[in-house]
Amino acid sequence: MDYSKLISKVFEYDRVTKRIVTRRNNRYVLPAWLMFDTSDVPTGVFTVAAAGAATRPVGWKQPFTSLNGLDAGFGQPLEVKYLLLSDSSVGLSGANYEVSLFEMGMTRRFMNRACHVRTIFGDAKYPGRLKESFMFWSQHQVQAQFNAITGGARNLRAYLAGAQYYPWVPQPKESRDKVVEYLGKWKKRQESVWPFWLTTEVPVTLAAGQEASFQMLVGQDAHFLASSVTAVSDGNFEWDLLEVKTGQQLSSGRITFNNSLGDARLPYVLPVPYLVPAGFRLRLTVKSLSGLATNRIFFTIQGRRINGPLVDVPRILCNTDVGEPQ
Amino acid sequence: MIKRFIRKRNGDVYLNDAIRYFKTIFLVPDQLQNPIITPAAPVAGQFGQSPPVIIEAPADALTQVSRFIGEHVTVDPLITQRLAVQVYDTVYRRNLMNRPILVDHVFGQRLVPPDVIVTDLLPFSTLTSLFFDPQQTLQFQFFNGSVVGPSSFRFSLEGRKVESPAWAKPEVKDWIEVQREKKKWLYPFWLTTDAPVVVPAGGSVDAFITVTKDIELALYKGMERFISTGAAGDTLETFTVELFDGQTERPLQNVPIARTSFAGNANFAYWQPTVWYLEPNSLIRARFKNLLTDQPNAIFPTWHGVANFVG
Repeated sequence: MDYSKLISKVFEYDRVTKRIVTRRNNRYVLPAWLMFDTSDVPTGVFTVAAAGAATRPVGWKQPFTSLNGLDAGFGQPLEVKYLLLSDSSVGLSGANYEVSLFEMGMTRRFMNRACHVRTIFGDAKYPGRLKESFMFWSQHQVQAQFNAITGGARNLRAYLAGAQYYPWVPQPKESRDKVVEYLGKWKKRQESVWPFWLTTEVPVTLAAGQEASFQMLVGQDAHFLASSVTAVSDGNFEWDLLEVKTGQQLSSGRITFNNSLGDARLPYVLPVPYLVPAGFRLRLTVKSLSGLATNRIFFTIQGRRINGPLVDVPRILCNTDVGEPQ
Repeated sequence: MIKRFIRKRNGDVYLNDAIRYFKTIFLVPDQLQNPIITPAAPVAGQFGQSPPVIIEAPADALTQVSRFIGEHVTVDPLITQRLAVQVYDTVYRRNLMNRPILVDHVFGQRLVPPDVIVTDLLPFSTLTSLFFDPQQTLQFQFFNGSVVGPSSFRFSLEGRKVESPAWAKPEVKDWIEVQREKKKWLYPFWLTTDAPVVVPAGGSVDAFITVTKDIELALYKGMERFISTGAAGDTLETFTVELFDGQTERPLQNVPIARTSFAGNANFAYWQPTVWYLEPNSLIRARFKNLLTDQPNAIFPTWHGVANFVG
């Protein structure tokens, strides 16, 4: 692996002075983990009720800090890049519940319906990586509704991991100006672009050998740019995906689950992002290849929503690109 | 990285001549020292030490190493889990770690299912390469923290070399100059706690991690291991950790981070979502809590990144 580009963001060799120039200042940004709101879940361990019973909503809340108003109104935002989860009994591999995520401050849903946690969250070894980072502004809140699919009550820990910014640090001012400028770009981008997961409108449950089609609706409010596909199921199945209005297909025939899809830890990354315009729908056709009496299939497409005229999508993505923080 | 192809302004693409001069190389210890036998620790809490193991770069080539691969010959996990290594660059007299680091956090290994779907080799890729002029050396010393028995270990370093006839080629000459300059400053670096961490059953301890005055660090990868025979409490996570940045004393979390969300291992390390930059003379505080309620827990956290030797 060649990490020279990565390293050069911090240590750059200056050919003129023949010295290493340090380009990073840790006072403005640190890696961070954010767990559920501590006033609600002080220990960080949240209990999901047994299947069939109602689980109360839970949320992550981004705190606010500032110094002499130098934060330029941003406080202490967190750029969320990974979703991490662990079930206290069975780890991530055995976690079997659905979750829906909702951003309270901007009243934005991150998914059309609850998705299986393993199609969204990963662990430290293989984090669930967001294809579009999410800037979690200070004093905002993301609400999660977990619902167990099978089994009894479970304890879980779920983290949003990313880069924590401190734009209010007074010195050096040049670095602060760059961080404030970077966060300003994020404000603009989030008006039009945000992460999104698309799943089937109704749960998919098949009998042995059964075949059925399911709709995945892209709402009227924004377009959907798909980046990767993940799935979790009880048994093997084969699938194909069709964009209904244009008849565009993603495959020349059915693909088996085992040959094509992973969960959020190792998803299938589309070689080319796939743009689905607002109001369009995808039709997922699945056939159970398992001998199981019920084969539950959780199929999720990860990507980003883009708000604006369809012809302007490339321009929006380009013009709101935030680049590097420093 | 040397580009395989060069694109001219008119759009034509040419094979980069420079790649013809580079060849793959594996550096291994002297056959008489292989495998490396490290005696058992005389008592718990101490280490058995191997003799220094010297890796020497070839006399007729310049060598750049970027991957570490290791293999435990000993199979007893009570021994292999506690084997550590200290790597020392003899040219500039620099340690590549603040104290001995578990070999499983320094060397990648051949993995078998269920860790991977098929048997596969996953070397540990260092964040920056190590460059060697002819016959320059790197010293490894192994430390066995187990009292159960001696440890037997093999390893190799993988990289590339450019042989002497090519040194005068303009494409290579420029590359050599940059590598020699970089070697004065940048090294791969492994960072762990200043002292071993053993947390009593159900208890907590504060550990400290010191960044010395002579380096500044950019940390990218997080790794962990725990050793405990505990069977009561949270046997999956086994511990939580809270980190407080050096210099700023800011917490990196709002509640303690559970093990499986905190770090991975050498093969599948946790890539920090953003680089963790640490200034010289920083002191990081880490509070570990043992979630096992019946036995103590020995915890080995390691971060890997790049050190800039400023001192």
